[in-house]
Amino acid sequence: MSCAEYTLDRVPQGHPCRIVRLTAQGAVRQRLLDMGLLPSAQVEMVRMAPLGDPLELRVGERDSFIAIRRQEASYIHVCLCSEAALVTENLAMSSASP
Amino acid sequence: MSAPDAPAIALIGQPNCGKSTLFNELTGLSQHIANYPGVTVEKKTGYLKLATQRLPLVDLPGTYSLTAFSPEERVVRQYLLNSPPRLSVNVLDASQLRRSLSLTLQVLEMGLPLVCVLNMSDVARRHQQAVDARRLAELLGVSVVETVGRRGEGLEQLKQCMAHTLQQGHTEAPYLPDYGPLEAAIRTIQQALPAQMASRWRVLRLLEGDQELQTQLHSQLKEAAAPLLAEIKQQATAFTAQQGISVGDHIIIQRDRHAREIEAACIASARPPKVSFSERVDRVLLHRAIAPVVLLATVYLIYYASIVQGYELTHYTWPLLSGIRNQLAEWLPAAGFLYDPLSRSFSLWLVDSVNTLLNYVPIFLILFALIAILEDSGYMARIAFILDRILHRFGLHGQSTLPFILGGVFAGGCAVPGVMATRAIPDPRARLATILTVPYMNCLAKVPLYTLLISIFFVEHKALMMFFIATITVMVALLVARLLTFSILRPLETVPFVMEMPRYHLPTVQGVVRRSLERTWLYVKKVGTVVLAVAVVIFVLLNLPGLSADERAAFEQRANSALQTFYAEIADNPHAARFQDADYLLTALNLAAQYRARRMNLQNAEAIAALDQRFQSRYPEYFAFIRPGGGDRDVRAMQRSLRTLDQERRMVRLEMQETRIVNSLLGRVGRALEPVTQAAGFDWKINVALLSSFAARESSVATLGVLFQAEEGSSQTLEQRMGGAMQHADAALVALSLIIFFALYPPCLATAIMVRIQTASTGWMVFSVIFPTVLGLLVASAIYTTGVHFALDAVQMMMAFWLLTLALLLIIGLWPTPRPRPPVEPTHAH
Repeated sequence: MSCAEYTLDRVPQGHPCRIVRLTAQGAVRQRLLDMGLLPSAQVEMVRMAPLGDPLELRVGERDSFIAIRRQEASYIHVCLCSEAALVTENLAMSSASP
Repeated sequence: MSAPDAPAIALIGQPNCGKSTLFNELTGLSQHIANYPGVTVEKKTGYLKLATQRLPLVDLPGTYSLTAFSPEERVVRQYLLNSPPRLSVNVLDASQLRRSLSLTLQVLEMGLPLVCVLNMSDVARRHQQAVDARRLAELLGVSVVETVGRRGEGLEQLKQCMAHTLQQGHTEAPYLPDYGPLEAAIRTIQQALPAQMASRWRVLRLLEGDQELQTQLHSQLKEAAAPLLAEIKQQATAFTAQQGISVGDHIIIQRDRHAREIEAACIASARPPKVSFSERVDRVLLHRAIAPVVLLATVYLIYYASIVQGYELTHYTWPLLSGIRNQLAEWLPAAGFLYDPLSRSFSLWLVDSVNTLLNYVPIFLILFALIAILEDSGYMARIAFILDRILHRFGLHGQSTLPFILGGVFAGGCAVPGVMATRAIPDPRARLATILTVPYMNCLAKVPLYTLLISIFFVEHKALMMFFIATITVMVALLVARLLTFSILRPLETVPFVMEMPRYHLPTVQGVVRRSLERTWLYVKKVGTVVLAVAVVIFVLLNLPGLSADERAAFEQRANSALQTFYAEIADNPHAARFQDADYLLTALNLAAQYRARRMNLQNAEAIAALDQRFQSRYPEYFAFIRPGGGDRDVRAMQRSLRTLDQERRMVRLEMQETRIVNSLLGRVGRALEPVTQAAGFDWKINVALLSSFAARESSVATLGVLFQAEEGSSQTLEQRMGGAMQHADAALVALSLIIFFALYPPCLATAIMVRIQTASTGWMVFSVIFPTVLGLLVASAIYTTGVHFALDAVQMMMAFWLLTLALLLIIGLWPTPRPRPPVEPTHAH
């Protein structure tokens, strides 16, 4: 399966994604894995904190909510679950600037 | 970490799964529970009654797994490895089954006897995600008991199940995760390890390259370890080369798959879970526009209810406390004309020290109840979520919020639990920065001094001043945190912010009341121990070496001449005969003082009449002379003469006390420091109070209370006394600089010791004391000197300082810093 891969901090609110891989190592990685952020797990950014950081994620199909900083979210590489739901311009814009 | 002698029963579970509630229900101990991840950071032991046995039960900190990355993980892991419990009770959050199971599976892989508790099954059921407990037991191979911890449901079944499992002994779990291609390597290594070290869990961890277990292997197997470790390493490398995935990832993915299969088999509902209540609430409460408003309103409400309304309540409690003091004063050996028996002055000193602080108990009760509601409801985690951006900016962490609130963001807390709660902060740098800045918060012990100074000097600006104090301490703490993290704390490592958002719960009345009482009791106990001990020491330091022979002779001379005047005055009075007896005279004077003190606390005519009646029936021969007014001409003349004598006596005693303090050891140190502290406007009396408060902040007000001495029998509040004594022009400015110095004041003795424990470093403890002292003195001096120089009044000066700090905060907070990016990754992968 091939898909466009984004880091989670770039995906706008309300788009369910599937985790492809984690680029973090050591304690960060372990912590993410412990919280259920495993490869192939489903994840969705449900909201930002009032100041734009951290983000609140829904992990898995059931209700499990996790707060995570953008910094850590950038270690999580995801694919969008449904490419059709993609707000193309929005994503193209945010992923264009490295 | 000391292991208990007999193997205990251990409670384990992930953070916020309801473990602590269950612990309390099982042991009857009340421990601090909150709907906030990471509240239990030390393990706690209680006792559990099972049938006829009394067994130790250990509550381990909540942990997500048994790797060794966080302090909680290390505590739990070391406990399970070094003192394997007879039985582990694993608490599962029924509404987070899959994630909960990952810990369960690890404990089972350790080969430890286990009973599972399916907690919060009510929540899961409400979401139509009820877990089939019987099926879960089958799939895990261990007993599963359903409970609702908050309502105490299922406790009896759990106890029965524990007793049964203990009796029957342990049976190996039939269903452990299958690690597929790794199984061959697991078997090979299991066979190579000595039997007592060959648990599946240990083998898996060794394959993942666990440092701690490798070291342990070295120390236990000596030379035999090296070839074994080489073999393990070779197996792991071979696996990664073959499968294209690291051993660690493979293990966690397989374990999660196993957990997911169990979850799917146990949750019957075909319906997808509906959007939870918490999520719907958060759509409003965490809405970007609404969240800050709700947060500010919450903070204001807490402040208003506890500080403003709580202070109103003290008007009702103070007469009670001073009544106790008066009663004690009556029971103690009577005061002499000039010198009191030591037992009297010492006991009254202690009671005064304690009373001044007990007066604030209503405030603490309300405040702690409100904090308990915040924690139990789950809103505290939301506060961390909202504030992390700001706190992170200053080198802190969203989870620094709880330590700060416990330490007293809202004016009123305690730095000791605050510093203890920093254990929950996973980031070492932010954690140390939090430890070093929590003492800047306005702990309960600082509040009395603030309230005292405000009610003397800033009566009209009370609300403004409290707002100033509450905000300035937070701003200074942020600036200091930033300063520290960018200088001496820079080399420390930092770790991620990944925090669970707990579900909202309705706090139970019982839980809130219990915690509020508990924390208040903790405070009172501190008063009872530390403050009493300090009061004793200070009493000695304030009273030694005492008066010189010359001073003594001079005071006695004055007392004698006052007596002679009195006797000359009453020579013609028909009542004079009784007063010739020195004892009679002294008793009359003391009773008059007693009467005044009692009378001061009474407002209505009936109570006064009752008091009169009591004194009259108890002291018939004295009553006419001690109650002002009434009686015939001769009695009134006698009352007048007595009053004059009494005034002179009080004057002499007051001067004696002052001379005694000037002579005393503490007084000398205080005066020696005056050249340094005069820049901040502190005279020696304030120095003495500040010195005494190093040991415990509470004693500052108590010491001030004595330095601005209460005369024997006076029921004036300290506010009235200090206001009377500090009437020079820039007194308000001194009060302001005192408030600011006190806000930045170093931690009290108890906190300093807690800093030592939490940082495991004497160096940091010393730093935590010296840095704020220097900073506080500098800032206070700057404020006082500037204020005097530009002839600004205290309120203007306060606003100037506040604006300056705010400006500094905004500049640092808004200054753009480049966000570090991870190494550039290809955006397309297959």
